[in-house]
Amino acid sequence: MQELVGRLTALDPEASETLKVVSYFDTLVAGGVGIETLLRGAAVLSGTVAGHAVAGRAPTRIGPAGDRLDPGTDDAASAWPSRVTSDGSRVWIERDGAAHANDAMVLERLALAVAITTARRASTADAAVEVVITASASVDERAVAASRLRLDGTRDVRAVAFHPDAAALTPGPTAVVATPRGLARVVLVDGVFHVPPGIRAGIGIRGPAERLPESWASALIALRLGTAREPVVDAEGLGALLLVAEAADRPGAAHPDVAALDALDARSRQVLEAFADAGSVRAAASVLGMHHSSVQARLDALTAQLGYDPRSPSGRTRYALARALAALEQPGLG
Amino acid sequence: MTDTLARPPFDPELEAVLGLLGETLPPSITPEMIPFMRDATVVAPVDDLLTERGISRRDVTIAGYEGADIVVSVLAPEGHTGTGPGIYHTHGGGMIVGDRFVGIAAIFDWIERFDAVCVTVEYRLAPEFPDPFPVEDCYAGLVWTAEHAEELGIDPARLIIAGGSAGGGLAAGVSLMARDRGGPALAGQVLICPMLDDRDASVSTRQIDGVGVWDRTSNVTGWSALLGDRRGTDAVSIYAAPARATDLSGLPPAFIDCGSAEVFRDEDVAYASQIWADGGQAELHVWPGGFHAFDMMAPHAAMSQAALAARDNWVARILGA
Repeated sequence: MQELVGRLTALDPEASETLKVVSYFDTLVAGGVGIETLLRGAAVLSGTVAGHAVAGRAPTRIGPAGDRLDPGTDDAASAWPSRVTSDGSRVWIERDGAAHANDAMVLERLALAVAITTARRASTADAAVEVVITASASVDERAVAASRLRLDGTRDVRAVAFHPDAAALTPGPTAVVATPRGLARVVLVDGVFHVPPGIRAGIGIRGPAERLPESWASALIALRLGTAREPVVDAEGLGALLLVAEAADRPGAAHPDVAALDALDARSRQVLEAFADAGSVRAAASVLGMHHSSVQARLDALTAQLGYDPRSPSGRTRYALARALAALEQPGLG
Repeated sequence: MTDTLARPPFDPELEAVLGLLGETLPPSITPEMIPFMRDATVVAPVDDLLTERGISRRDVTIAGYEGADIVVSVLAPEGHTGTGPGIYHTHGGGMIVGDRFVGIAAIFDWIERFDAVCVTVEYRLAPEFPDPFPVEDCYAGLVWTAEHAEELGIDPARLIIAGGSAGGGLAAGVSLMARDRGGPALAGQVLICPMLDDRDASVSTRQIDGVGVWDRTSNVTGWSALLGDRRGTDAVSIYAAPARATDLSGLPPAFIDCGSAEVFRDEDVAYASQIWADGGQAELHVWPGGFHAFDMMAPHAAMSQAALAARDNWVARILGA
C-alpha cells in the first residue's frame, strides 16, 4: 500500500543523512517543543525506541510510532547507545544489533536539543538571553530581560556567536538559540574577554543592551566570515564590509564575482587567498612554497578569468568583497 | 514587501516532518506532473499488510457509471461471520491519482475494533474520466454495497461512508446523491480534510500557495482535471463540488476535520457551518498548524495522535460500539 502523500519513516540504516537529522531537530528547537516531542523525533528517525532519564525521576520512553511506553528501569537504559547531555540527563536509543548510519548523529542532536530545552525551561536567565537578542521581541520585553541579566546599565555590551557544540567558554550570560541558519550559542559580554585558541567565534558590535539584536546579527555574520586560519572575527573590525555583508545576505543568485570565485580550482583559490593575506607576490610565494614567477603567472591567468586584476588597488577591494560574500554563501553557520 | 499572505504557522513537530518530506513531495502539483505522480504511487504490497492485520480481501467487479466494469475490494476480519458495521471507502488523490488502497490504513483499526466490513472502490480518475465519472462510480459502489449488505455481512443500519482529501469530497458528494435519489441510508459520513470547493476563492487557498502539502496550484490542477472548462462556472453540480450545495439538510451526521494551514480549511469549516444552519449534525475539528493530510504523513506526531483519536472516537459513537 502506498500513501499518496508519503509518510515519514525511519532514516536509511546504511546512508548518512546528517543534514536531515540536523534540520529536523533545529526545527523542533526553533519551535520550542518539549522533551517528549524531541524523543518522538529521535524515535521516528531511528525507527526504534528513544529514551530520556533525569536522575531521581522515572525515565521517558517513546516508540517509533510516537507511542509512550512504560518507563522501564534505569539499568536497562545504561545498556543502550546513549549520551549524557550537558545538563546531566541521559538520552538513548534502543538499538538491537549494529548501529545504523545515523544513530550517532540522532543521539548527538537529541542530546543538544534536550539540553537547550531543559535550560530554557529551568532557567529564566537562558530565556532572558534569548529575548534580549531577538529583534521581534517588544522593546519592553527586551528591557525587562536586560534588567534581569543586569545589563541595563551598561553601554558597551556585545553578543558573541559560537557554534552550538562549543561549551560556554567565555564568561557571561549564555544560551543556545535557533537562528535561520541553525543553532548557535550566544554569550553576552561587557568588557574584556578572551576566546580560547582554535575556537570559532564571531564578536558582535558594541552598544547598549537595547541594541543587542543588531549586535547578535553582526556576530552571526562575523562567525560565518571566520576560517580555520582566522577563527575569531570581530564585526567592528569589518568596517563597511559589515554593511555590505548584511545587505548581500539574502537568498538569491550569487553575485557574478562570487560565482567567478566558486568556478576556480582549489589551487587558484589558495594563490588568491595567500596573495590577499600576505600582501605581496613574494610573500605569497613563500607561504605557498612556490616560485614567485609561478605565482605571478598564476595571477596573470586569474586576471583573465576574474575579469579584474587582484593585484591592482581596486582589484584588491573587489576580491576582498567577493571572498567575504562567498563565505556567506556557505550553508549553515560556516 | 512580500506578496505572500500571512498564514497560521505550521505546528513545529509537523514542520520538522515537512522539512524532510519536502524534497520528495513538492507543494505544487501541476498537470504535467500527473503521470509522474501515478508512476510514483506504485501498487505496493497491500496484501502483506492485510495478512499482518488479519484482514481478508476479496475483489469483485461491479457495474460502475453507465454500466462499465469497476472493481471494489471487500475487506473483512479473517473468518468474519454474522453482520456488523459497514464502511464504504472512497480514496483520496486529488481526483487524479491513487488507487482504492490509498488511505486505507486509517480504516484497518475500525475493521478490527468494530468487526466491520469495508468496501473500497476503484473509481475512474480524471482527467481521462472527468466529472461525473468519479462521483458516479463511487455512488454505484455504494448502491452495490447496500444491495449486497446481507451477503457481505453488513448491517444496513450501520453503514457509514469515509474518505480523505478528494475521497472526502467524493464521500460528501455520494451522501448528497443518496439523499437526493432516495438511495442507501447512511449512518454517518467521515470527511477527512475533504476537497469540496472548485472555486479557488477562499482565504485559505490564497494563504497556502507554494507551501505545505497540496497547495493552491495543486488544487487548481485537481479541479481542472475533473471539471475542465467548467471549473469555477455555474455548470458544476453539487455532487462534484459539495461546497456549492445550498441545502445540507437531510444528511447523515458528519465528521469533518482539517488543518488550519491547508487549502481546504475554509471550505471544510463552511461545510460544517452549513450543516448546522440546516439543522443537521456535524463534528468539526480544525487542528492548529496542521498541513493537508498531516495525520497520514506524520502519524507519530502529537497532533496526529489527537486527530486520529478524535476520529476513532466519533466512529465508535456512530457505530454504537
